[in-house]
Amino acid sequence: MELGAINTILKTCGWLSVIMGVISLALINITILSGYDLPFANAISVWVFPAVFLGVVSLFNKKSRSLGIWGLGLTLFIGLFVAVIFFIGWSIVPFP
Amino acid sequence: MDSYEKLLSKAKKEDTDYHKSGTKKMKRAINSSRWKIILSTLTVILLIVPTCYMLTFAYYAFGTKSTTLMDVSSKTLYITEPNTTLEEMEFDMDFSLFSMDLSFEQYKQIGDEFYPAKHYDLHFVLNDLVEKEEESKLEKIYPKYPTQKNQWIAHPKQLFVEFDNAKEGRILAGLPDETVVEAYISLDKLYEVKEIENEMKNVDLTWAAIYTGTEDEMLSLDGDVVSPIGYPVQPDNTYWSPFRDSASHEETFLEIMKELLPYEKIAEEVSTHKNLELEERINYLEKNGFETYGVVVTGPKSEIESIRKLKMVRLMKIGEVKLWNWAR
Repeated sequence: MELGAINTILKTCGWLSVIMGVISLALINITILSGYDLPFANAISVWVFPAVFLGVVSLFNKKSRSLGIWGLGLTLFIGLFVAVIFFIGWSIVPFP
Repeated sequence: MDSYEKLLSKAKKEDTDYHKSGTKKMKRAINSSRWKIILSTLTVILLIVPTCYMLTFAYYAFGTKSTTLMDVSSKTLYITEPNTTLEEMEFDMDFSLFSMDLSFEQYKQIGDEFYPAKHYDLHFVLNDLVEKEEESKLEKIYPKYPTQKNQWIAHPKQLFVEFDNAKEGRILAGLPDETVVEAYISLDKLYEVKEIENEMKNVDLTWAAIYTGTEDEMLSLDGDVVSPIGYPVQPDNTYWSPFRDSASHEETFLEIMKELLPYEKIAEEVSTHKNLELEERINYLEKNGFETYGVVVTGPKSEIESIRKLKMVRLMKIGEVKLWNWAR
């Protein structure tokens, strides 16, 4: 495969990673702002895991690296958010 | 066409191709940066709400704890609302940006059983109670805006009350024998709670109003209107109760007052009391001990009628009435 084609694929991976991260963030926003435990809140992982994979793939090229870091940054934030809500939520709501 | 012209046209074509590909690259670069700006703006906007939500959780975990607000609410009701119990599993907590909703059910013992009395919905913004909704399921509603004379339990020195004691007596007499009754009793002088327990053995003594030096006129030293404050007398082994495993309910009552002291403003907002004046009342109790001027009892109608005839009972206000459930 040509080098140019590989570059284009990696760049596309970077873009997809960012877009998937933004979609996951949007889902989290809708869930929080609506105040309800919406079913697609559970489907966030469906967007996050591919975003991580595509983000890592796009790190291998200098031109797509910034996009990969951006996508991974978003998924890292989502991971932090889930961890904070889970662990702190456990301590602030003393019911099972 | 001679070779010179051929060379010239070839050079011209190459130049045009070069420009074309340059424009294409430029367009692609512009497009890419446009999308970068759109997505980065979106990212920043979308980060705001989850970050605020995490900060809200952190506030309720490390700042004013959600459990503290819950404890303050429940303990306040135990000592300010006569004959009250709350159920742990009935508590519901919900968090939104910088705010917390707390809803729970309050129960009353009438006869031998507990009945839902009120449903509370409290809305806190950080640690400020900004909205309180009460949905009462009671037939007799305790005065919502306390004054000096509209209490159902009155100190011996308070000669005038807003309810008609004789009428309450007639209501009690007219009730069928197969009913159980909740009654608010004002005593003729101050007693130890144990003395009252010994005198009223055939009914359940659910709550005792404790004299804290302010109840003669229902006014604090500053001249603020206060309401009766007291504690549940019977052993309460429900997991949630602050009086669970309490060796002395009096000491637990005093402890609760001390615990509520830093959160007095919230406690006053949660309760129907205008003022709690905890510091003044704690000081009085620590110096003078615990004596009661009024109690809340529940039991069969006939037993309540016989209690009404006791010399120590000065006034009696009938609360809730239910069909027979006294299985003893």
